[in-house]
Amino acid sequence: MSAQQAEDADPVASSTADSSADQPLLDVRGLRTEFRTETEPVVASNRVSFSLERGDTMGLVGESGAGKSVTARSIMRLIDPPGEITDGQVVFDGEDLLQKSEKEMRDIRGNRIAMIPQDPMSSLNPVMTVGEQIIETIRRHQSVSKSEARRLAIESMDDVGIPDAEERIDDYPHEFSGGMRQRVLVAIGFSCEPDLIIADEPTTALDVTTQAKILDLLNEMQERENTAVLMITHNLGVVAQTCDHVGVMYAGNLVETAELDHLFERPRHPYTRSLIDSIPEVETEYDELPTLDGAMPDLSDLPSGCNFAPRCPHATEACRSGGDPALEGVGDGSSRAACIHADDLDLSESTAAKSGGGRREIDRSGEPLFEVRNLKKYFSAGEGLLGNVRLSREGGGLPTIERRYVKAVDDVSFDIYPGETVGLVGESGCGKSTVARTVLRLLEPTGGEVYFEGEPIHDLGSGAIRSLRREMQIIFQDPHSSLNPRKPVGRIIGRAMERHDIATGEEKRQRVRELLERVGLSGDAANKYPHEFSGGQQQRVAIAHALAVEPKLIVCDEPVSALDVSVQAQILNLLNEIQEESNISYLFISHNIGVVRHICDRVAVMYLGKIAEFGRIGDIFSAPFHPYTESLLSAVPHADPKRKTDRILLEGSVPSPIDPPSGCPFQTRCPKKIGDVCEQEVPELEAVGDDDHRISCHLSVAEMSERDSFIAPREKREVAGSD
Amino acid sequence: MAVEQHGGSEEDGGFLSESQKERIRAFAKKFRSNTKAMVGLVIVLSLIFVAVFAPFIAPYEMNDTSVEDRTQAPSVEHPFGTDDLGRDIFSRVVLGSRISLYVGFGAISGALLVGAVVGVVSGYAGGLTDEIIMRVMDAAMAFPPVLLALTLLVVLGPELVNVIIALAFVYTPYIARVSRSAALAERNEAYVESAVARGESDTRIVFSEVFPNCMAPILVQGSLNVSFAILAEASLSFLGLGAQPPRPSWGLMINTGRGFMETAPWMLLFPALAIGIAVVGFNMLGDGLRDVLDPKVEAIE
Repeated sequence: MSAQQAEDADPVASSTADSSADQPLLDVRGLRTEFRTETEPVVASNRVSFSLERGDTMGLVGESGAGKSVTARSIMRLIDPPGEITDGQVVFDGEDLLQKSEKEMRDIRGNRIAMIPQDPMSSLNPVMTVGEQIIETIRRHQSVSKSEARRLAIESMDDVGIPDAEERIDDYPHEFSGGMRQRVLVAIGFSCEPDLIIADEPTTALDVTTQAKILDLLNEMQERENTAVLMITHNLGVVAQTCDHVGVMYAGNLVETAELDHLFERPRHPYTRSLIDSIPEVETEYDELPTLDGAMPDLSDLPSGCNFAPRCPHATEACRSGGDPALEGVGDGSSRAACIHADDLDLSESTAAKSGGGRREIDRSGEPLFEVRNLKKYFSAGEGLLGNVRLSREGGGLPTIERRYVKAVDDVSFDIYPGETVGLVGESGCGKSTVARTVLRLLEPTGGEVYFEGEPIHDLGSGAIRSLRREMQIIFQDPHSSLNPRKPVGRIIGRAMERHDIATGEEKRQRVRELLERVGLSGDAANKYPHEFSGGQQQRVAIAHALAVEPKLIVCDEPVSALDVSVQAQILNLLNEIQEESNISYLFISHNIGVVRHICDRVAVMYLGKIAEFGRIGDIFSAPFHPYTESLLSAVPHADPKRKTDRILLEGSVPSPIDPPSGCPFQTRCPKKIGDVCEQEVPELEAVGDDDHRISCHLSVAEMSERDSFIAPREKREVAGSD
Repeated sequence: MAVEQHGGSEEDGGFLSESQKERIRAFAKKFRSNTKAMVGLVIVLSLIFVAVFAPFIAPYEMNDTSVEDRTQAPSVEHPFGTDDLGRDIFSRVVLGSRISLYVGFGAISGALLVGAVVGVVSGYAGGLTDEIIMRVMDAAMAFPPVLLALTLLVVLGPELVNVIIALAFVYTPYIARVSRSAALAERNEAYVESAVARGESDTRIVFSEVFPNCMAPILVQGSLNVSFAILAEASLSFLGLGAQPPRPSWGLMINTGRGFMETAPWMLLFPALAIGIAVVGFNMLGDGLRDVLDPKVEAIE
């Protein structure tokens, strides 16, 4: 093993020796990190070697559990027992970090190497204001006065797009949304202008428009400060947009490193190909979303041959024995791949099936299944009975008492027909999840009407509502938290049937088994507890739970955003299949435009509690656009480095829903604002073209049609252009 | 342990599924590898053993007085010596374990029953209900436990059953506090919302969904409080408001031994040791359980 490692580390070592004049900023050689368990150590990161030049960006991609984060943490020596770095070198600016004392490391962390962590919920200290946390970092490494540090902190909060930075600096982390907290973490990471930033999934929790801004910010900082970035992500779109080099990790090993263009043009490792293929393209219509079958092997029980062999479409007998291949140079270019067939395989073509006519047509002639009219949900701004009361003295005169509300949902109307999927998209805080909970009466609506098959949900008593819940179910974002950890999944699913007298006893057990098999699990899974399943499997259980009562409508609240890309496609395909079989309707809430594109029939784009645009998928993705939709669509990163979409970056940030702007809610950020009318009049949601496509904007149809379409295949667009 | 079985199979006819067995095995393994929990468990089990078989273990009757054997130092016949009435202290300490455990378990079972329900309901309900219940609990908690128990005993009369009632009352707010905070955390989990969306009633959500998930901290708090209750019973008996002579309560024995501290220190030493061991045992068990019984840690694996 050790000989193999030495061999593996060699090419890097020799290549760095050649260019010792200008050493790479970071040179990782044969890094190996183990976690001790009761039986034998699990190798979470093995034989990882790569180098990173000053000012360069390197991406580390792979599914969750591939060892990306462990590698990054090993570089900063942030591995806690029972983890241990057992071999290798991490040469940073000419010095081996693994030889440094803990005290020396403390001066490097946060100052010369900063980390932007992954989980915004737990990475901020809940008992300190965010300002204190940024100031703390600044004052730890820079000798500046308190007030100067505070000014720098406000500045860095502004840079990452936190609205009202000056006021919000004294807020506590829990007062920020998840996306906002991630921005605070980005601000902390940048606060000392380090040489190397390790960004661990920095934009995973952010909205596309913010993601685009943060990625731009990263790129900009990098050019200005010559900062190197090690970008850890599962999103190849982010990689394509920001990185110069890419390392692909699988089961603790680096399986391919290449320059960005080479990687996408001709991947050398079958895993890379599969990863690229598993991302649905916005232009393509799929019968079934491409998936990457199977799952990463258990790190404590690796296959005897190549780690990827069990999932590899090109695996041969030689792959299945003889140990995991080492990372070796392939072809003429700079690519290196850990595959014994790397030289023979030509993986430049995508293998995903693209045929298909897309989604079937929905019959909208009859009565809608579900109708929402002028729905409003206001939350009291502040705690307690009188917490939302403010004295205001607008325009002089006597102060008046004013009650303040967060208008989370303000006048939203839409309908859903049987068998249809209606999407709700928008950035975090636009009120889409509130819509989901309010239409199901999990929250009491402030105003408006909701009809389910003609029944006024907003008017029903609590008993009637409970009976009607049989027809309407919900799937939550976090499958782990939505299943009671103390109950076997069979009982969770069976309980739903009992509650609504659908089945009991033996019949119930039989149906639970059928349901579990229906969602792609084994029937024996009924006796297992939720924690015994992976995230994707837990979401399957949650789907089975929703299906148990044979509902007509399922509200899916970001059902795949907590899952791995490869698993996302599996879950979406499952939802589609179920819809085809049982003509169920979905209200599909997502911030991921790519997902919405492939699962929805009609989409409502929400901004600040209002619908900005509503229409069929084709209408939403083609002109005329609401300016907000246009910028939202343009911000989606594509897994194609050659594609340069002219992204429309929005000015400023989402205004506070306590104090929404006058007139059109989008007017403060709109790149196409025409003047006073936008500030004074609230635009109606009006039909443009046919009746099904409605846009809430003062612009004329022609003005909203400057761009063609985001989904038409490129060839077609050219033809259309020449006409 | 009770928690693990709680998830059990009322519907499957009492047979444990493979998964449940696996869960119990994993729990047992974790428990065994936790030294604190194991030491605590051994002490508590030995105490229970001694209490159950006390009449067989004790070589003398608890009220066997003998004038010529008064205040004898520990010897082979009387391993812990004898007291001022010539009674065998070893026998009395062994028999006294019954009283201590009886009061400890009795009081805490009562406190658990009331406190857990009050706390979980209050935490789940929130709002005004929560405010009112918790302010009442705070008021009860504001009194020092022993003082409150004393006051109650003055009203109820010095009897062992009354000691249990008084201590149950005193420790209820502690259990309720812990239950409430557990329920507050659980209330925000999506499975509660999922149960609401399924059409469950509030009662069912509280007792069937939220309650089982709060069991771990409640049990930990309970087993810690057993030790406080044992201590409190000893204090009350010491003050003469608990067990009445000639019952061999440890606290009472210390009280009598107090007068002979210089001539016969064993009269005080051995009951005090017994109290110490019992308290340490329950405390360690509680602490160990806290380390072991965290479903969240287990689930993350």
